[in-house]
Amino acid sequence: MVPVILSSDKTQLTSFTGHHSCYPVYLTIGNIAKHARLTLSMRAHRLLGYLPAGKLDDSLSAEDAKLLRASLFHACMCKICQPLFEPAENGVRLADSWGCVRRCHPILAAYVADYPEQCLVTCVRYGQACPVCDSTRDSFDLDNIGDLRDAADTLATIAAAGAARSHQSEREILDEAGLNLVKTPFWAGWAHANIHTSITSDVLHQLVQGVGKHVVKWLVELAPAKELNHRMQCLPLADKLRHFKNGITGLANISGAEHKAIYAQIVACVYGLVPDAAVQATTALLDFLYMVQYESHSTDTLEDIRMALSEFHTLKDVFIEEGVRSSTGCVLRRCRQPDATTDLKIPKLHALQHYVASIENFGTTDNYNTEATERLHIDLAKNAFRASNKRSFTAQMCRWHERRERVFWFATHLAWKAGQVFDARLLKARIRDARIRPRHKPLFLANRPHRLRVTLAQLGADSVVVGFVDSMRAFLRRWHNLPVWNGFETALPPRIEQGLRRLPSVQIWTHATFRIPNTQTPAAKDVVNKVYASAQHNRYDTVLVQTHGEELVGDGGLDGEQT
Amino acid sequence: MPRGKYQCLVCRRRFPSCGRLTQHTARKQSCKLALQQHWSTVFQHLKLRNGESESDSNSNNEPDGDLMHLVYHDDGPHVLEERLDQTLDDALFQRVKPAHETPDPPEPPPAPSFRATVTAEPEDDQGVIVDLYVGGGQFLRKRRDPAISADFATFDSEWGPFENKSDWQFAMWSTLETVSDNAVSRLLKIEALSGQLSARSACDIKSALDRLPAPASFNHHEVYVSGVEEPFDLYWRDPLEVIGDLLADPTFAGCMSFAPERRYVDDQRESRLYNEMHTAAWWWGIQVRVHWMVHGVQV
Repeated sequence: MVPVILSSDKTQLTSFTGHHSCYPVYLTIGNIAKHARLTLSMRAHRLLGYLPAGKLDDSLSAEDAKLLRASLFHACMCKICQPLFEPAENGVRLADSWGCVRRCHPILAAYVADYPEQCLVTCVRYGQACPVCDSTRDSFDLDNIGDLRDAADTLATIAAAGAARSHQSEREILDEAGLNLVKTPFWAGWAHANIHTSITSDVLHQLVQGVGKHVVKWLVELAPAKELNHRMQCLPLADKLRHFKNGITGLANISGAEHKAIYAQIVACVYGLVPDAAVQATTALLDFLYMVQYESHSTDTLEDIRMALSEFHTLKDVFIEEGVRSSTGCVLRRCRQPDATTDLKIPKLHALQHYVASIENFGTTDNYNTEATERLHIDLAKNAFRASNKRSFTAQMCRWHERRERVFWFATHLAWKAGQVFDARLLKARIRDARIRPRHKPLFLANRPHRLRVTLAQLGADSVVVGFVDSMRAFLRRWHNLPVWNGFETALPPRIEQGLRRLPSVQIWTHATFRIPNTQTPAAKDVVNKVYASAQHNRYDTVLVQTHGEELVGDGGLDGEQT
Repeated sequence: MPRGKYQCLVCRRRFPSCGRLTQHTARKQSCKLALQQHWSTVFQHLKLRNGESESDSNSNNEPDGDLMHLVYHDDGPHVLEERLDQTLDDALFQRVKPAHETPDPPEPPPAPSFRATVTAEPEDDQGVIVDLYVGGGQFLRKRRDPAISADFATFDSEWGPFENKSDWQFAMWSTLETVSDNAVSRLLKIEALSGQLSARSACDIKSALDRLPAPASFNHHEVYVSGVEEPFDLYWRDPLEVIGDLLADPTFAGCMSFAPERRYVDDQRESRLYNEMHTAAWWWGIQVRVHWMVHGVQV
């Protein structure tokens, strides 16, 4: 079986004069292990085509244009996916890289897209209904899910609406189901495909840039700005974490990476500035946010996710009571519904209900994150556009791709003959298997020390290493098994003491790199952490080092570890 | 006899990897026939359940073996269903527990390793129980040449349409980097470089590239939508060819999986492990449906 993962997203090609856009569709398959699928240099996502993205006639009304765009999308996708319908039912013989021929059934597994795109694909009304279950806007803030939609039911409803006698009854049928009238959705002929199940969760848009963003915004409104910024500024620097030296209230157009850095720091900063219930609700939501991004889940951790979400739901009312949702700074103030600003009926909040089901059905969320496809736009759409002469560019972009893929295919062939794999990012062949490759040493120090000669006297005076000589003495005492007399430590033998005094200088490394195997996906690359202890970088990181035991660090948390 | 995690249902031989097991069941006639019989029993049994051709099956097949015995068991309908499901579950996959005491022998390179990411991980698989779906992911035959070497078999030279290594490397550089064709042509005009490469201009490079075998190519199609006169341009390529390219790409050799499985972190199979797509529920469910449909049972 070949699970097909499709994704599509409209993107702007030009940065400032935004009149060129394109609409690429990508395809990948679920057979490939996820660490390989997420490594862009292995090119597991392939471009399937460019949908028409041009402007429609201005004379159309907004409603008609929307319907026309939907039927155009489905007509194009139908044309593209047509060759898969017959093999999905009867199978087709395809060979893998060893030449083993299998009977393959390409079946739609997941459709990776953001919320507007999800609505377009499933024919569901934007902002009014959930593409996965039959909940409508009124129940978006509740901690439950409706009956799951089924593709056959949706088709039947659309057919009934299409056959309705009057315009009035057609509207009634569609309104009740929260659907749009698309005559032939592209997935109608695809065997075994249930498009509503295939709509997977989207961590980037729904959580990081979605509910999490809203909550941060509400917290910023509740807390006094000056104090919050001051607290953010006071936080120490840390590895892989952005430090906000000007605070966070003045930020505009916050990116996904910045949001992640804010989530890591905000709970500690708002404590005491906002009501305790708000802090608890934020903690529950951030627990949810971090736990759904695990690379490996068990039934127990899924239960933890459920509990975190229901805790957020019991506590979330504090934001309404505090009145953040009705204030002018509200995120949804551009929303057309007049009552939208006073409640928490956000489609993204409802979408969190489907995360556990998504993980149970299709594996962990990194299997179908939109972050990977957003990155693809740069390679497969923007670079292609830049290579064209900007006139009738889509055909040129296709030719550009074909030529590149020929080169990639030949390079892959050459690498394969040499027993290696081709890396499309480094443009050279590299050793195939992570297990054959020698593991990096767990601790990496630069060849040359950062400070070559530091005498012990300087060490004591320097703030870098406090009490080095004392620790050295304690170590030597333990090393030589010197007894402790009535609680007082005995002096070192004169010979050692003399040697210590004669020690001319020591070498100092101010930073080091730790490489730890990824405990959740063993085949993936090592996790790299850089630690600093230097006045120059103004950073002193805490490091926990496992001194005994054979088990992998991080396996099972810190329980019972001697650090 | 090699000790391993995967056991053949018929001859009880153990294998170190799933690939070996599928190879074994495909090659050894006695096991293959026994498994086929096993499957036909299961499917007959499913047909019975669906109420099709009940009389035929009844007359032709005597209840042999545990499975058929269970079918005709004279309990109430509810009990029957329950037992049936359990039997089916047992029949559809084989429960295997990784042998902790015997580490896997390293696999020799030529054997197709179907599941390298799962079975050969030394520390990670400790204590993880894997239920395999037996009927999925088996290959029908093995081609003499993999697709990628068949594609390039027509070229005499090792470097395909290029004369030597440096020609190929320059062509790759000029195609994959963001350099314009004019810039490449001007670079080739520099006299110091002219003797070293056989290409004279960017055109020569492109014509050599066009002789390389192509993966799936793009098509143009005009889409008409009711209500609009002029057509819309759609550029697309056959998804089946794209899937074929992905499957045949040796970059992913060793990290492909073709059959679903269930993994558990405890012996009681209470806590299930989810990470890759084939360890999750959807694939298993669809695989069962596809498998049934191939054998003519509508579910």
